[in-house]
Amino acid sequence: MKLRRRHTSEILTINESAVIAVGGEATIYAIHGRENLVAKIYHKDAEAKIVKLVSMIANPPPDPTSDQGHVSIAWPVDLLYSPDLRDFAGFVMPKSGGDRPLIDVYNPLARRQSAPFFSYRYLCRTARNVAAAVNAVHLRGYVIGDLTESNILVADTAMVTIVDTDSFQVRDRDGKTVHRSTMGRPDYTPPELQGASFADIDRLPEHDCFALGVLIFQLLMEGTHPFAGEYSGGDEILPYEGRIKAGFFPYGSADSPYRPKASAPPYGLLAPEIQNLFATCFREGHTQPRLRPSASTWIGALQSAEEHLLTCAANSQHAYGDHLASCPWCERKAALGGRDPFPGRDDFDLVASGRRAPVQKALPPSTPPAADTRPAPPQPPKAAPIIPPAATVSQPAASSPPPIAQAEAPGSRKPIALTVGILAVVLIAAVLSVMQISKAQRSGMISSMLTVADSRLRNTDAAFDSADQAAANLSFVTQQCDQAISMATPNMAGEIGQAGQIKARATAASDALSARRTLDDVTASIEDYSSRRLTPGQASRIRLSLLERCNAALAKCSRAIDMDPSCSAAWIERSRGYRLSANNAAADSALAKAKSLRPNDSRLDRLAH
Amino acid sequence: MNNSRRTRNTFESSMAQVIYDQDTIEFAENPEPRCPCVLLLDTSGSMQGSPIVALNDGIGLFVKAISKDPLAARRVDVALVTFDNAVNVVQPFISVSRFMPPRLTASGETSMGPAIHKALDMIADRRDVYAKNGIASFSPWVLMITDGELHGEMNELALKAAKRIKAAEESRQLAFYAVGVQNANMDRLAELVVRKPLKLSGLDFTKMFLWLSASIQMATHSVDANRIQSPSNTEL
Repeated sequence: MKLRRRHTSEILTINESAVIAVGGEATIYAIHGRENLVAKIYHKDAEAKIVKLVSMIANPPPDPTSDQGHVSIAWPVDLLYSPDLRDFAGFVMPKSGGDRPLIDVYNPLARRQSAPFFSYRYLCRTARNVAAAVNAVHLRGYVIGDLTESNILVADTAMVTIVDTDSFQVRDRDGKTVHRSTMGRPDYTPPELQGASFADIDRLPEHDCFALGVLIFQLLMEGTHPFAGEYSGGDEILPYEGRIKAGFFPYGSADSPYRPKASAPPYGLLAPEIQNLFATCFREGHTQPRLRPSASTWIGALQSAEEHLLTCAANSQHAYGDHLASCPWCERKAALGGRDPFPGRDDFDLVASGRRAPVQKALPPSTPPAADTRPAPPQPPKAAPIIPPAATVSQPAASSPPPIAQAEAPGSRKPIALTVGILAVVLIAAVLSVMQISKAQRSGMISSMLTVADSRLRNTDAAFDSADQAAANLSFVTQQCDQAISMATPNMAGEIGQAGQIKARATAASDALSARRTLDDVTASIEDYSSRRLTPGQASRIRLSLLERCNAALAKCSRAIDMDPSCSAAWIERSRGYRLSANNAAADSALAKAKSLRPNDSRLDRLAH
Repeated sequence: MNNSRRTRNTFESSMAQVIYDQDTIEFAENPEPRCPCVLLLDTSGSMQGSPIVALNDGIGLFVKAISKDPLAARRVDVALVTFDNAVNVVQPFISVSRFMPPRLTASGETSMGPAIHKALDMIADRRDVYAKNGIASFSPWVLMITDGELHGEMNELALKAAKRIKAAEESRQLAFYAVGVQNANMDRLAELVVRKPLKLSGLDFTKMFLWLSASIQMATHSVDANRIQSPSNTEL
């Protein structure tokens, strides 16, 4: 499809096979030969949008990261028409620097699957970058309206991009016409707008500030919504929007019938100043919306909180405020049965990049406030201190192992991750052979390998779409564990034990997988035999053998479940599922059929148990 | 003292290490509110052959479609219950992102009444787990697919099931969709459920499961499941 830019008259070729995103009203496509631009094409006639878009194009907000080559706000730059300029089609905008919605980094489960090395320090930086981008939008008098985790994309560097800007509330330059934002999600909507019809109201920056508070809370509190909590009252549990409306913020107030969830991180891990801002946002702000902290207030507070972060001695991915006596993430890891919210990688970097020489490593770039607010010095990349606080994951250097499964396109993620993993193993072996390394380094390297293995094993839980891929993942995990064991010196009992444990889990998972395959085969065979003409003798022999295979599969499932209490919960559930379906579907029908043919065969009764 | 649950601020107030139970770990790692969805499927003998194959494909499609949406993938919990001679819980509630659809086979009679009760019981239990763990939830969904009808008259069990559906729908605590395929008795289905049952012409479950995944996606993004429109029969 060819379209013409209205202002430059340039003809652009839309790459219709490269769909970047599909929404309810439009699709976003790549453009041939234009790496930095994308086209948003409306599905239906959208002439009504033209006036609003023209106004936006004429008056863009200051992008706080334009000097860093990053796009913080995906703002329209030109309209798109059919080549004869007759039909309006959509608009062009810069390509987003981020690639995943915020939920993928703040939700611990999603983060483990898509960005396992996104550390707590990165989450704090992400929060600040979100505040900076929102601040820039507010400076020009725009209101976002639909400010949610889905509309902010984040890159591996913690840089963010606000997308869906054509749904913003836009005031024309004459100051009279307001193009309203008709979108909004209840869990990000302030109390005074709950239940209102967005088409009928003008939105204000303080409405965005409520949503901003929710997002920052989720980023700093492991995905916990500020109004999530356990209910202590007698009647019906309210959804988030009801609690927001009633002002039932569960933290630090006695009058909320909701208490903080047992599974949430302790509120005390937040810096006192941040806690105060949340109280202002959700408690005082409940009745006085104008008191909610502005985006620029958040920038300052988050920057200060970040400066007060300490790095945990046990794992440098763990960062916590200096008001705390010990690392809350180590404690949480233990509470979660060893599932580290921020698995370590520093030792891995350290060894693979050579020596302890200080390496120039950029912090995730900050987003300084725009120049026309109060000036704050932009934060330049710093040399990493002895223990790197946060290695930028997007800098694969020849000597450092590439990050695991983060930057690839979703479809290609696993095979590439596999290659990367194998490369890492080879690299480590090479490094080992040329370097005399200390025991501590060796141990660090082993534990990094095990982290990779563990992370891969957990990722395999989600590989529901391909049994082959799951099998490849599991064989990689086993190989990684074997390699780790062979690298360990005999006195590294802890590491060897850990490798053995991960390997045992992989074996359990393989068992469950092979059980599933057997059951599928059995099911297919049963259907096949049911449709063929066999003598009763043939049929019963075949069915008996099917039943035995079925039972072997069941035994494998049981073993997977019994093998290891810390065996991933998903595999346990899945094994139970197979066992149930084997019992119900395959075994029962095979048994029934076999029995009808050979009512006196005692083996069948035995198999039934 | 119950040591499976943590008390507040243990890391400040005490040195004792707390370990979460399995449920707490699940909800700590994914604190998003949940939308429970039961697939309630007729696997009686008349579904043998191409219908059951089409159904298996449809389920796979449904799971993939929801899992592609990062938010819905974290919010939808799915359970799979089949009914033939008995009611079988093939898959208890599990996050859709971890659900691996089993291959269903078909045989036996249709025991729809008990199956509906089972689905509603499972939803009640699941919501208790959510409540106990402080997890917010969306209105639950049930999608029942059948080609048969109840044995004989509307028996007592089926009448009770219909009453439960009605009460839950009226208090906006449930969205129960019944889909009839092939020779399903649509009048009888209509007596059972509140929303107009959908008649599927042919065996193309594709559109229906795509509609379901899109609707659940919408519900988990916007909370209000009652805004979801049923597809018209012509769309299916």
